[in-house]
Parts: sequence; structure tokens; C-alpha cells
Amino acid sequence: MIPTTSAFDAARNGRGQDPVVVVTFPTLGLTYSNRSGITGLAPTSTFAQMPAGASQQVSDLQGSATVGALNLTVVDVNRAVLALLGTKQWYGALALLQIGFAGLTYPTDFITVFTGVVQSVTPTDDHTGFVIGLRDFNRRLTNQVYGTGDDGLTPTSATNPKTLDGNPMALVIDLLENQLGLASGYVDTAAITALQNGRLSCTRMLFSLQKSVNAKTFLEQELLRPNGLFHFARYNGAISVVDMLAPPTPVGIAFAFTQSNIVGIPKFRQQPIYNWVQFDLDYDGSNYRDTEEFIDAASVAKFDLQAVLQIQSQGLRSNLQGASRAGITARRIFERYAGGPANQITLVAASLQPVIVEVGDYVTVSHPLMEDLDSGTLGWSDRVCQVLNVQANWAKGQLTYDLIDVTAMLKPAFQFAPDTVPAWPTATAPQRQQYLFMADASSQQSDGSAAGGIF
Amino acid sequence: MAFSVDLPGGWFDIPDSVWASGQNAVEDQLVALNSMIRFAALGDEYFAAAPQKDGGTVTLPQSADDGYGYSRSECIYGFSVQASPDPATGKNGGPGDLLFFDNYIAQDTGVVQSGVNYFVQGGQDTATRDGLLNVLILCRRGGGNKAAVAGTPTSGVSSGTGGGPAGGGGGIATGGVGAVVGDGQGSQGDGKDGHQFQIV
Repeated sequence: MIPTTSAFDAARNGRGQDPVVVVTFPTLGLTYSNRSGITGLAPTSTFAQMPAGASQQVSDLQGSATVGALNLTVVDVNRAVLALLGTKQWYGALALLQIGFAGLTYPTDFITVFTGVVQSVTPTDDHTGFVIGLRDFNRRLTNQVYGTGDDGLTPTSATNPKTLDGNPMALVIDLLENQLGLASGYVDTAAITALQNGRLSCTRMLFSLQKSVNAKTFLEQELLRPNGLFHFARYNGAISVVDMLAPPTPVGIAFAFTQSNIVGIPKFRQQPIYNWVQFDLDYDGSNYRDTEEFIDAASVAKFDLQAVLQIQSQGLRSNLQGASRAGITARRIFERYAGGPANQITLVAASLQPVIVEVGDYVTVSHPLMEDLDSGTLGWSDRVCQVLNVQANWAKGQLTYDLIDVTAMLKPAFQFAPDTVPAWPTATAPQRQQYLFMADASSQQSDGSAAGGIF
Repeated sequence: MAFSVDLPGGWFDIPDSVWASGQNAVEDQLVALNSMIRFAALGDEYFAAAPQKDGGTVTLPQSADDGYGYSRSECIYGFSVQASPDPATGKNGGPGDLLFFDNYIAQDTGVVQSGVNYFVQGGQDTATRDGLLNVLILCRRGGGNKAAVAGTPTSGVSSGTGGGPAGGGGGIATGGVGAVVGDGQGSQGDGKDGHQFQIV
């Protein structure tokens, strides 16, 4: 979720929005806006066609994210921009897309919704201006990495492999900061470190690379996908990693969509069923020496279908608990995809009110006319969804979201109890709600009451 | 409740801090702990095989605890000589004194070789396939076919070549007096492990 000021929140939640769109190039000293007369804002020109918007699509099953891109068309008044082409370094120059509302102070109460770099500068067809192509920092991920083997001198090869051994999140940071050279400000180390110290604290991966690898492919297919994670570029340009298959407990809600702030009724999108996960691990440089197959038997019987998803991991090792790790990922895939087509929907916001929502955030959706495919009834009420795609059209002031319903995956959190907490029979109701109590093999507490599960 | 190691296990350190009071119980860590407990309980098992004579094959063992059937790549064999005569007759297969033993169990197939040579002072020696071996089967689930694992710390990122507990089975030298043992370089099996699990 994009941080805001109270003034910005008041404006976005108010009626009669008058949005202000700013595209600024700090190193070039250029700023374009669709409005003038904003306190603190001195645009180079208002002769700019606001971009249709950046889109970043992520895939929960592939761990991947597309490169966000947008094009800004500027009118070259008095050929001022043309003159700059010869004196400024355009390509790779930092670019910020900022949003505010009339009456707010720039830049204090504006938010940055996109941070990227200039990828291209092309004259318009009528030669009255330029189209400036911008890309997010995911473009940096296309580089080749780990090109030098363990001897530190010669290229990575079968005889001089590059060994990587550690927590996958530590490897992610190594890839982004040390291999790609991203400045620490462009790596969401807080989120990545939280994952490393959280549920992935007991995960270790071991790679023996025999050639250099594409950073994006390695990040997505090897470090993230086997662990149920995906990456994306945040509003400030930082590359972040999000847990796709395990919503946090408690889950933070970035925005509540209701019939009052949605255009029409959200559309359903049919998604595949997966009830069979084939996990290949123990890579020896040419073959995977171990294959684990996980099957949701109830789903196979229910649909009379074996729908297989194959995941290959060169870093998971069965003698490093890799098989257990594979089982966790498979179980979570089944939780989302085996019981029935996952509820994936697309909705259009009625205003810029949810502009703070990013890919990976959780939102709630309520609408009385949406079908509940699980219960066979009509109406959604605060169903928790994760954002898979944000499509912004700043020219129209329109935001479109692709969401996946994760309500069924939400689990209660139970803490390990301190010594002062008594056994179940004498524990208070709040203690029973807060702490972990061991149940018997029949999932019953000692007084016969049903135990709650944590997964 | 049935007890089994349903996935190939291994050791991995879980930080003590995740078990402190006030920490949320997390699936990943509980599954890892459960896996390690099972692996610790049944990861290594030892079986005494029936006495083996030349040309025999050591039968693959089955866990008495959970019925798990071991594959050849998960087993290595230690042996000692129980008796030198021909096990079929109970008599020496040649004249004279014992000269040397030639005993070996192929670690990748379990096939037994047992030879005893006899020698008469001033005469020829006689090579026979006599002898009977005691065999101890040492089993590790999931062992034998795994890529080598670096013996490095688990925190942070480390680079460099690792040694550590590779899974390939090596010959075990436990022969009795006069026994000739293998070269300790058992070959690694080329089979591919596979498991299938139903989540219900």
C-alpha cells in the first residue's frame, strides 16, 4: 500500500475529485502536469498527454511479474525539449509519476504511484513533440548474473561452478544488490527480510550453477516459485517480494471495495484447476534426482480430472528438507486451486479513491449481486482478495484491478504460550483464542471440544 | 496413529527464536519440525541380514516400524566372516591351511562375493568359494542418490565448493581377521527417487 498524508486521504475519499497528474524527471529538471496553479508545483509544461497508465501483471503460480511500462507524450513547445536531447542523458534517467488533487500542496501531499526510468524518446508522428517511454525497475532484472564461478576469476562452467547456499531470501537480496547492483533504496529489504525471518526461516536452498543465468528467470523460477512467492516493482521503484500462497495472519486490508465505489458488477475470470503437483528437486547439473508428487485425492475424484502442475527447483534438496518445503507449496496450491476454479475477478473503481492499492495488497470485496460460487448463493460480503494486477489509466482517471479471492486461505493465528498460561481445562476463553494448545490425534482438546487448526 | 517418514527428510536448523512464547505458530516451521522428528526417529535404521554365502544377494530390508521398504541406493553393507568352510558341507573346500579371504559385497547391487584360499606347505594353493558372512545393513532414507550438500552455515549466503555428506554409498571395511575388503569406493546408484503422496 502506498503511504499517504492525511490531506491526500481526505481528498481521495472526498467527492468531486479533481486529480492532478505529474510526471517529473528529477535529473533532467523537467516536470509535466495536466494542471497549473498547484501550490509548490512549477511544471515545465502542461502541454502533455497523460499516460494511459502502467500495468504490472503478476502470476501466483509462476512467481513472475511483467515489466510495467507507460508512455508520456509531450508537446515540444518552442522546441525546448529537442534542445535538451543534446545536453542531457535521457536514457536511464529517473522518472516519477505522481498523483494529487487540486488544493493539495506539491510535493508534500502528493503520492508517487510509479517510479521508473526512461527507456525511449521518440518524436511523435506529426513531429510536434516526443513520446517518452518509461519502464519500471523490473527491466533491470533481464541482466545475466553469476557469470563468474567459484574461483572468482573465470566464467561459470561445469568445471568451475558457482555455488549458492543459503536462505532463499538472502539469495534474493544478493541477486538484487550484489549481482544487479540495485541501490538499497530500490530493494524492499524490509519485506524480504521479514520473509526470511518469518515462515521461510527454516528454508535453505543450494545451487551449483554451471553457467550464468538470466536474473529474472532465476529469481522467479528458482528462488520464488518453489516457495510460493512472487516479486513486483513497488510505487517507489523498489523490487519487493510477496507471499502469494499464504496470506498473513492477521491480514491487513488496503481498501474495501463495495457497490458504492465499483463501476457495475465485478466480472469473474475462469481459472484452471490444479490437483496434482509434480515437484522435481535434487538437481545434479543435468537431471533432477528426486521427484515428489502431491495429489489432492478429493479434487481428483470430484472433477474426475488429474490436472498437473510441474515445478522444478534446482535449489531445493531433499536432504535439506526440500521435500517438506515442496509439500507446503503444493498444499497451498491445492488450497487455492484444487477445490474448484479459484475466484478471480476484475473490477473497475468508480474513482481514484483506491489509488493507494498496489499489486500484492489485500482488499475486501462486497457486492450484493455477485455470485458466491462456493455456497451457491447471491452476494459477497467482505471477501478477502489479493491484487494480481493494477491497470491505471491516468488520462481517464480510471483504475482497474484483477483480484483473486483468498478468503478460504485465511487462518487464525495462535501463539506459543508462556509458562503462566495453564492447561486447556483451566485456560480462560481469551487464552484459548490466543495460544496454541496441543490436541489429541482426533483433533480434540482434553475436554472433548474440537481443536482449531493453524493450517 | 500410523507413524511414517512420508517424505525424504534431512537436517535443517530451525532458529530457536521461532519457538519463543508470544511467537505465532507457523505452518512452515511446524512442518519442518515434524519432518525432522520423523527423520530422526526413522531416518537411520540398521538390520542384521541372514548369513550370506558367495553368489547370494542381500535382501532389501523393510522397516519394522512403519513398513517402509528400502531401495538399494539407501543401503550400505558391513560384513564380517562368520565361518570359513563351505556352508553347504561344513567342510573346507581345499586342503591345507587358510591362506586368505576374498570377501566383498557390491554396494550398488548387494551381490555377495566370498572366497577362501587354502595352502599346503610346499604345494599349490586352492581357491574356493567357501565362507559365510555376517551382514549388517545400514539404511538411510533418501540417501544414496542425492547431490552433494555443502557443509556450510545456514544463515546468509555462502559461496564456494562444499564437501559434506554426499549420498553415494561407499564400501564398508569390517572384515574379520585376514579379510580382504573393498576399496571403500562404492559406486553410486543411478536410480531416480520418486514418491507419491495424497493430501486428504
